[in-house]
Amino acid sequence: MTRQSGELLQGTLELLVLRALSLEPMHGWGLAQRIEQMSRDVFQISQGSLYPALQRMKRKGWIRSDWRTTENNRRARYYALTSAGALQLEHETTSWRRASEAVERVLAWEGGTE
Amino acid sequence: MRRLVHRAIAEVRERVRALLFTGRENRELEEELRFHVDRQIEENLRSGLEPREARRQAYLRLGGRSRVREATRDARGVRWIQAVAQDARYGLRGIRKQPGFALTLVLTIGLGVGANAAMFGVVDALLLRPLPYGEPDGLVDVRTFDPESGSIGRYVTLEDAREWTDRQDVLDGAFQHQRGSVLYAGGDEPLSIPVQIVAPSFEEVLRVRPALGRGLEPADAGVGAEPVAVLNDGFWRSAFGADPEALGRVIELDGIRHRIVGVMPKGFKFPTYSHTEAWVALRSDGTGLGQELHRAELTARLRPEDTIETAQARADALAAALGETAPREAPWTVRLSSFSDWRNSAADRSLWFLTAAVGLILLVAILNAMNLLLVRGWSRTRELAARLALGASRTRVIGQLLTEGLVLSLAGGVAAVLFALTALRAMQGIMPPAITFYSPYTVGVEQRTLWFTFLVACTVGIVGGLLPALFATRIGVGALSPATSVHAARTPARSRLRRVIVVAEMAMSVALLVGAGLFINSFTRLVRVDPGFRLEDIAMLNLSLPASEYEDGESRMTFIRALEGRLEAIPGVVGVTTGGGGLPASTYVYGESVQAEGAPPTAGGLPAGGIPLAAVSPDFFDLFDVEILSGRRFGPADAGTDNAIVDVDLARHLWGEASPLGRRFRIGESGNWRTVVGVVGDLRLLGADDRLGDFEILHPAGSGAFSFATLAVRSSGPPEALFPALRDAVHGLSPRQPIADLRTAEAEYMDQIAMPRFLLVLMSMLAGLAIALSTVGIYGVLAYGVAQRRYELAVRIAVGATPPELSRKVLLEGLGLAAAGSTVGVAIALAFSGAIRTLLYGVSPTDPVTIGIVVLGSLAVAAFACWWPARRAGRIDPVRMLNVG
Repeated sequence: MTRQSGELLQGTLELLVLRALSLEPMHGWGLAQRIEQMSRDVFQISQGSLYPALQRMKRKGWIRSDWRTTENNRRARYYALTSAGALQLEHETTSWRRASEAVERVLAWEGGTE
Repeated sequence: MRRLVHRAIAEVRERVRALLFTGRENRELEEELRFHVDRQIEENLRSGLEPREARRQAYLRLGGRSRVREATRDARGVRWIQAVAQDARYGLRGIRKQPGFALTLVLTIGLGVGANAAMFGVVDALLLRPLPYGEPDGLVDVRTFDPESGSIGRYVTLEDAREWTDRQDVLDGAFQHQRGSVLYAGGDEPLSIPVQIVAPSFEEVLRVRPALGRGLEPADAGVGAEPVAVLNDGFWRSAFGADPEALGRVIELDGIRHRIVGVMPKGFKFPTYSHTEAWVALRSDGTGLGQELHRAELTARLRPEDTIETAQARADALAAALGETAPREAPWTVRLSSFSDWRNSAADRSLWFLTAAVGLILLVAILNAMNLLLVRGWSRTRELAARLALGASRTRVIGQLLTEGLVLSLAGGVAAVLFALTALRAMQGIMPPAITFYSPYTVGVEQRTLWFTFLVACTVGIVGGLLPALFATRIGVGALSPATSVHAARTPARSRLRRVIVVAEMAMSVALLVGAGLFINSFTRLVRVDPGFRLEDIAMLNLSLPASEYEDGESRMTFIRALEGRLEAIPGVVGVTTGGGGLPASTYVYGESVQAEGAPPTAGGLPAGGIPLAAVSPDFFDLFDVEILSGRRFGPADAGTDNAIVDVDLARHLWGEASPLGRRFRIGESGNWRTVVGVVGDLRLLGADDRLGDFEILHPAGSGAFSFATLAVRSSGPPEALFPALRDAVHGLSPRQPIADLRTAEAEYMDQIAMPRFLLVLMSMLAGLAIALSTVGIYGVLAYGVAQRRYELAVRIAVGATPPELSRKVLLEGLGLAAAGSTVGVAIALAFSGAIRTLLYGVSPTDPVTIGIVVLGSLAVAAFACWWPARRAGRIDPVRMLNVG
């Protein structure tokens, strides 16, 4: 299991969580799994940062949580996107795209002044 | 924007949930994490790991369960609140263990802050709260101003007023108003109620709206329009039981039927008038309530771009133009004065003086709280040292001590509100009309007062708690050792601080006591002043004689004569006399000068309020025991003449030692010449304090022109017993005749010393409070000092000091502090002597007797406070004490 550790930028985790939750409501473990899977195992989500992040996002009103029963008949806390969260996702996606394009341009720089 | 609001709401909800359900949140987090690990284990098993290894890997990935737990809890963002709550709980536990300490502190703060809250309630209503009109800063009164004499007139003729109202280029709207009183016979008893005749634009200019129905409208001012009235909220409640159906009903005011169209908001009043029950329209033909009005007061609103100064310039120009079109005798200009000037006139010296006094009380309370908290901090030195040693940060411990102080201060704040409520209720009974008359609000504990109390209580908690907290946490681990604990707290700096506090408390108490002493001294002198007439066993029956009920002076006179006959027939009545109203002064003659015939007018020595002029009947002199010094009293033939009886002061002022009999004088340059027929002794018609005015003039009643009459009834017993019979007599003769007032002459006379009495009562209470607080302070310092030094004292006894010597030493120490404080206190009192001088009668603000008595008394009280600790110092048992050490 050699993996390149994907060091998450500050705030990126929240974006990833929002994105994952925009698919469907899920519990913490499922969320971590899903993000890992979506990032093709580049990002490994540490629980130590996931749960505080979820708590923070709940406080900001982006996500809400409730207790549901899983397919295996166990109680688990499910998180779901709120409308404020959906807006936030849109907002953060745009600014992420802009930033990553900019970073890409900087990295691809080969001299000259155009 | 909406998003922001939603977010804020979500955030608050989450935090509140986190706070309220901390236990549940934690349990849920545990369950969540357990679920996570379980799923991870399942996953690991599925990928073929050994069960043991699967568990190990799962826990490994979780990365320290407690760290996750802590980080998640921190993310809830309520950590600091929980810390404060913990401190508060801890503080409360400590307080429960020492209820005596807590009670003393709560009482100290409650009384100190409560006195301030009560005073704030008064000052706020009178001065601070914005006037109850729209944009009150733009409102001005327009007065006439005579530049030659400098005199300012309140009234403007209606023609002039109309010019001012119409000219939009000078003012942004103006309206005339005039006060009057009318007969209202619709209730259980006929009443004479104060009303205002106003131009319908008043609501527009003042920017107020009626609370119910409509206000006066321009159509109401039309000639022949149906008379309408807008009621005062209070009158609507008392006369109609706050019935909304009262709108549209008809009431009779002075016999004229008025339709009720609206009710003004609660508490609405003009700053100029003490009270108004109804507003009726000033008609466009210059009449109001069926009578012609000639002149009225004029109130206006400045144009938005104007200040008083710029508006005044344009007003001057308009006044000059008006003066030319209609030439006048005297140069005629106007003076604009801000509406709020009325308020400032209410804030006379005494109000500020009392505010300063309660400020001192607050300082004493803060010092006392500080003192108590210092003692408490020291007695907990070991506990705090332990907390610090165990790793609590100093900030956290200071925070904890402050929280404790705040918890106690807030409890004190609650006590303060209760105290303020009681104090205000008590004060309302004795509050002089001079203070409340111009107040646009009634005095009471309002929301603003509660905020004030809360803020002050918190300030006391922080200010009083910070210094002790800083001192208490300046301790090393060494304080934990039992050997050093005894001495640890006795650093010189702390003892000095407490001494300074006690001296300061004592100083302020003595300053307040000197003030109270001076007021008491002054008041007793005022009460002992001979008013020049007899007040005992006299009932004063004040009647207003409405124009609607009496056709002319003759019918009034007939009524009065008939009433006198009925009153004299009541058993217990010894005599009756009728005057023009008041006690026994009826009218005040406003004049800039007084002039003896053949001599130039003199303006000096005239009282600001005018010279009282009493209309009296011939039997006045017998009934009130007024002695004629020279000349004669009035006889029946004097009625309607310009004959006058003056008091010796006026006679001396006008003619020196020459006999005034038969000479003529006049007040003002257009007044009637009055002929002196008699001289009476020094009368005090305006009250005992002759600085209000030295001169008195009596003139014969009986022309019948007055609309207000006072019948003085002398009784053989207590006059109060006659009140029901007097009322019955009036209503028996005329069921529609209102009784404006029925009181004893003594009560009416006491009204005139209401202000000194008010000052006296308040200052005495405040001074008593201060001395009680500082006594507690002195006692605390000494008792604590003795307890702290018990080892030292025990050693002294062991090596030969006698108990009386030790007691004396402690006593002298306490008295030394008290003496130092008294000295400073007297110095403060002397520094304030200029401010208090005009509030005193017949006693100098530096009166050595008063100051001496206060200082001796304070020292005696201090000695009493020292006595118990001193006795304890002498009773220390060296054997027991040193064995323990």
